Amino acid sequence: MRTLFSENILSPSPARAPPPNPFELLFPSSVSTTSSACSTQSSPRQNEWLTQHLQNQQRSERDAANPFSHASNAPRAHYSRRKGNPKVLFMGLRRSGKSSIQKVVFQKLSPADTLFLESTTRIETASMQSFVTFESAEVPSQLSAIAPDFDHRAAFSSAGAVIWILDVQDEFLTSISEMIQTAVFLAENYPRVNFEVFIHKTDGLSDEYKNETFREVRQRVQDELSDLGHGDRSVSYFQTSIFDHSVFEAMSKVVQKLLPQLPAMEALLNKLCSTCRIQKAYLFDTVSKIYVATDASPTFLKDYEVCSDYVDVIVDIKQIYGWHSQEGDGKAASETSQEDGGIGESMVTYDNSGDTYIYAREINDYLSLICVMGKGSSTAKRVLIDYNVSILHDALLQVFRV
Amino acid sequence: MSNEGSRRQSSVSTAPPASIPNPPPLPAAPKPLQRARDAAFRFIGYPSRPASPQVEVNGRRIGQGSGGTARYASLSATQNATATHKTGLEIKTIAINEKGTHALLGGKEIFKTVKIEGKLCVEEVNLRTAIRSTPNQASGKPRSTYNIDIADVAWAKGDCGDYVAAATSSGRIILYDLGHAGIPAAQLHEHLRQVHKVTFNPHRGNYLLSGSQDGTVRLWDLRDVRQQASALQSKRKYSGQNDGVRDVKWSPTDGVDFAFGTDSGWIQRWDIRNLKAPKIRVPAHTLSCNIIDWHPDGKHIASASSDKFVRVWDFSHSDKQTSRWEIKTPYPVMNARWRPSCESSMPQDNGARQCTQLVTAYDREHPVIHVWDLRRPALPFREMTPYDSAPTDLLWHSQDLLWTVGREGTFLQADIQHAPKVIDRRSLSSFAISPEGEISFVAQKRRLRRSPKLHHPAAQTPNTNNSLSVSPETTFLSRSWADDSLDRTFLSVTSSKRHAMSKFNPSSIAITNEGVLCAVVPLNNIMDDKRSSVPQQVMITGRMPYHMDPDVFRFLAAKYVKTVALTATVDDKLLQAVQDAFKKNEKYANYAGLYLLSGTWDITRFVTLTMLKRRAEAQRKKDKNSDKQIVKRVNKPTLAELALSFLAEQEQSSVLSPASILPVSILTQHLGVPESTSNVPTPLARPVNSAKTSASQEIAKLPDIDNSEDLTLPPSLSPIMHHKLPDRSFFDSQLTADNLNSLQDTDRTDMVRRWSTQPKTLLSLDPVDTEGSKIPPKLQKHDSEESFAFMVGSTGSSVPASVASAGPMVSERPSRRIPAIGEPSDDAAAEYGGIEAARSDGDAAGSPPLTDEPVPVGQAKALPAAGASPPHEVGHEPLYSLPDDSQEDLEAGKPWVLVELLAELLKHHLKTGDAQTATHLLTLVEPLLPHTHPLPDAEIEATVFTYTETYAAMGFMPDEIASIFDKHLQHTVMAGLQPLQIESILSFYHDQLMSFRLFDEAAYLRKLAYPAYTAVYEDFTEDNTIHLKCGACGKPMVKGMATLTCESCHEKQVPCPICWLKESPYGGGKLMSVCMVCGHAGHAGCLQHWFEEDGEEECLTGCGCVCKS
Repeated sequence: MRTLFSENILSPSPARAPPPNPFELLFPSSVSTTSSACSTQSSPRQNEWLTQHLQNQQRSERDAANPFSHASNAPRAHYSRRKGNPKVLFMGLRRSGKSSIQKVVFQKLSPADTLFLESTTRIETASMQSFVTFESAEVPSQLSAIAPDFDHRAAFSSAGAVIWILDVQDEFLTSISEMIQTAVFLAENYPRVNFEVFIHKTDGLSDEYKNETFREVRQRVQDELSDLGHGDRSVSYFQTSIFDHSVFEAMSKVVQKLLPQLPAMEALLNKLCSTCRIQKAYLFDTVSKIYVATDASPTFLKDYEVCSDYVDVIVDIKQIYGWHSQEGDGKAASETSQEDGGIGESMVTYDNSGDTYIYAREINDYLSLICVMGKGSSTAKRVLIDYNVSILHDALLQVFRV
Repeated sequence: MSNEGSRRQSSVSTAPPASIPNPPPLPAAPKPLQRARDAAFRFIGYPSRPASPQVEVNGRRIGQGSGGTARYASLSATQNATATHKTGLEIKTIAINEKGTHALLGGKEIFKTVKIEGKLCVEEVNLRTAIRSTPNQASGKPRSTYNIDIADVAWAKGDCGDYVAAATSSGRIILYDLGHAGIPAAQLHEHLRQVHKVTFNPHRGNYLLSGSQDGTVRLWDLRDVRQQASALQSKRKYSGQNDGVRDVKWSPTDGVDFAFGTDSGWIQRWDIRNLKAPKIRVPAHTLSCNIIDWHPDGKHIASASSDKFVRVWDFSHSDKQTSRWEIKTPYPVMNARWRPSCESSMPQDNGARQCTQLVTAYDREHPVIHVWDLRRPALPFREMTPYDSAPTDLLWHSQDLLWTVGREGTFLQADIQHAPKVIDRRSLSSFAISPEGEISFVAQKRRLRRSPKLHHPAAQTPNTNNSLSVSPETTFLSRSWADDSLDRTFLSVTSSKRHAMSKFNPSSIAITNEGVLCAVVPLNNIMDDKRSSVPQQVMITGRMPYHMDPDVFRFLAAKYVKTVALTATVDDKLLQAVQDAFKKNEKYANYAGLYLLSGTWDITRFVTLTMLKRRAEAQRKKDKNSDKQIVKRVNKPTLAELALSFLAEQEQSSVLSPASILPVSILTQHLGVPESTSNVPTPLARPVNSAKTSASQEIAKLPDIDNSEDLTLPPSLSPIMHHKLPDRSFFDSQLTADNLNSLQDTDRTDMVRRWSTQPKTLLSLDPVDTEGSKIPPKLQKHDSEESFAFMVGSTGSSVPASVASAGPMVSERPSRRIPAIGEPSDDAAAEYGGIEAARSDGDAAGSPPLTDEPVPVGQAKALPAAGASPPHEVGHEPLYSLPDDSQEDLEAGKPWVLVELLAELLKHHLKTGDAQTATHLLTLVEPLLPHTHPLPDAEIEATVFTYTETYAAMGFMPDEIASIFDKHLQHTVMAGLQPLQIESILSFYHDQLMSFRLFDEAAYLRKLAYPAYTAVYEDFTEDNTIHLKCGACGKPMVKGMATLTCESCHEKQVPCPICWLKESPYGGGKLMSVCMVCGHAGHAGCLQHWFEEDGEEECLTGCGCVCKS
């Protein structure tokens, strides 16, 4: 009996071997570093990627004269690993919210509880087992990334993105100057690392103030980077808060850039949307509520919130009923079809006319497709929609299988 | 080329059929009835219009009629050129060919060109059918594409005019040659993700730009198609974005520049020759920038975003910039386009073109389309709703014609002249009133719609030319090049400008006109010329009629004498005080220039004094023979009894248990008995005898009162009481400070107290009275600066008055009594209750001797406030009203009866909204009124009922309610004033004071109103917290003085500079005082010592401020 989501979503069994990661199959040199999913302790095993990286780095330094060349095998392996496991690095001044974001997004800490987080003193990592393993690390503020004694190779060479957290409710000018130093350093030494800025703690600010600050920060950073000769380096900016969905959306966009399959997934979703008159389709990572792809139509936070909440609902219901029987779809409007080896799907309508509803479908253990259906694709056309989605399903599986 | 079989007549919309053969377009004859501006423009414009197709590449279509007269064109003003073409398939995008004759529609299941002639829309080339019917690719291989999901289409210009480009969601751009529609001319596949926009260079029609979700913009050259159709490579790639490019547009004036807007809200300007970095990069929006559009002047660019803004930027320089202008739209903007330029209405522009309008379309749920004019950005100029859902794409065909396509599958050519103007549906006038009584009023005359038909007969050129190279004059639909927003309702030029226009020499203009024919006036020139176009509105700002000058209001509010210290008997002191008070008010009114008002005060003074004197006389007369007179009176229930009976009815199940009677209630019982008994000044009794003794009255009364109180006392157990307890205990520790402070409080505060409290004799120095007294909750915390400011403020303002009129009261210790009523609390009250009981015992013990005193009148007569207290203990008890010692109507037969005079005055001042005068009249005169004109019985009952309910709802205990009635309302009602009216007057005046930010006066008024008039103070008894203010940052210190550190700025606070202790060694506890002039503070006790006992006058910090003054 299969349910919409795998039963180890919420109670992951550490003994369970992680499923083969398609990316790691691609690059045999990469070592499987996936530790137990969603573990929160900073055990030595979790820092495996660091230590291992240290070894690799030493080896590569022996091999190659130029530490930044990717010619030798070991760095190549790392580069491929970086593509394989999206890894993000949180940086920022103290008390800017790095740990909070990491805990909330990757470890499902309740936002209210972040108040009690201790300040971090060492590099802490967390990983999340999903269709790919998301890794994240937090660089405490007292470790300056550009200080000579900082082992930046270990930190940055495997990172896919560096996220700078800027506390907008604090005095952020100092943070900006440090951020620019870091960005320049990265641009010069690790140009492949994406640099993202989270303008954080925007909850509770007035719209005018928020937008004005947002604009000011963007303009200032851009100007200073241009003055330093890195104007072509693109930096993405997001307004985030852990108390709403904005941080998840921002993380989604950060993660998406690290996924090589994104164009393929997006094209598939585009096709599906135009065929089935779907307003907006998201491919969700069920565990983290991060969406790994969406179609190309303009995104509104509202859509994402609705879909994200729906994922929550489904996960909650699964938690209650999921792995016992199919009454797991306790929702009135949801149902489970048993064909195709128990693919889970459900839908819920949220207005009276029933024209717009949300359609959810499990792609695999970790991914689910959530669609906001538009006018003209009523439930009467379920068969067509189901058919199209199953085609998309197969295509997506192929994308990840390659 | 065109498929005759598939040609479809499109539906023609609502235009009137042209029954009369249209005359050919004529040079406009002089139109005498038209406005001078129009005539001049048309006249000068006409001769300069050569058929000049090579004027400018971009301006050809739109600029064609630039020199044209108003009505030469084929579309008259009354005709509606609206045309539709229904396809039934969702259309996603539209493009126009260079000449403006054809539209290219693209969508998932549609890809065709439509020819539009006038109101006819005819399908010409159906590319989709052609593609589907062609089985092979150009290379001969079988066709692989069955479905192209088109995201955007573009029509090439110039030499490549037969080519169209279609961007697809897969990232492929397909080029088609319309001549060989079935086979794609080329497939450009370099974008990894969806291509959002493709666009051709307006100057070099073969250059194609494509912007994609993958963050790159690529440049393609169509001329390469002929050589290498199979593998066309992009010429350039402009990247550096890590978010999708939503829109890309070529600059209309500079052939090598383009701009694009991205998903994260940036807009950038690039030079195609520079691959590395943009020329300008601006974070324009916080959300995705969905569309950009160059202004025709090439300098400015508009960007529209999901964040509901359309912003216009100056892109001619790369300085740091903010948006020059912005329009706040009601919904997320998905599409925006500048309206093609029209002839400038400014004479100095010589007929150059200007463009200030743009059209916006919104997200899916909001189908409305707005045309905005930047010169009046707060209001859309026109609006229309062509479809059920928002149009997916739109573009301007010409000045008046807007082409839109939508999800419903309809292509629509909308004549914007026939779209309704938003302003026609709006009220053209509005007003607002400021709290200070200023009124702003905006009005505008709505012009009647001019009917141009009279002057310009409908003219439509029969258009038979269906080739692609029609001459512009015949195909172009236009009615006027003039700025159609200038209709004098929405915008209009100022009259001086139009006057200047009339002096123009047309011939000289006609020559220069040619040079500037197609030049577009830069947007900033139009926008910065404020006079050029303004809404012609009349605005009036001024004072409201009947509304006082704020300065006068403030002056009078501060200066007016509000109350007079009452004495138990009418003596010379009282007369003097009353006279002084009225004289002062008269003087202030005179100062303020309100002579009528000062006259009013004068008259009122006269009447009041006359009345008082008469009362004094009557009193004296009575004093002589008071012993003998005994009057039998009809026992009429007092208001308090009435109220208690109401309450008793509500609590029907009141079983009185002995335990429920707390000492306090006993106390009030004690206090209440004589009061309520003595409070029977019934009119029925009046005619019987003019002089009555108290004895009989009391004898008759007492049992009744006891009974009634027995009936209604139980609620002392009610939860409200317990609820109040903490407050009480908190007070207790604090009130000593207040008492101390009250020592230095002078006349005014005294008067406040006297008005609202009932002080005891000098015994009041003991804590009993202070404990028993209740301060309005506002003053709960004495360590606060605000309370202090109030104190200081009141003291300061009343110092002179105190010197003048301190009188015997100064040395007395007024203590509040009302609060004691309101405070039946368990522990504290039990404790004090004991004391008070003792005191009241003392009173009781003392009262028999008092009755023996020579003047028992006060006791005998109805003394509302303190029946038992002898009248000659002047000032020992602040009175709420002058004891009414005359039961007979002393004013009978006199020309004026004071209460009637007062009523008339009130009526007059209320009619003019002058609550200030009404309030002061009331507060001054009301306590002095005799009890000779009571309200009708029914009214009394209703009033009492109302107030009983209100007080009960406020949480007062029944005995408290009774006491309030005794002390306050009894007198008011008996004097013939309706308490409800007084309450409304006071609360209105209170509101006025608050809106003028006269907080001291408002607080004083609340004191006066407490506790009788709940409406005045009820909003101010809760949720008021008082904190110390940090001297450094000015923010409140919530944690108080415990740490002496401000938690917001971490500034160390200086303790009292005299004692450097937490509590003043001179007494007064922690109460701080501050000088409002120099801002230096210290313990109130210490300062008291410093200024009073040491006799210093200057600030103790040595700042030179003479604080004592």
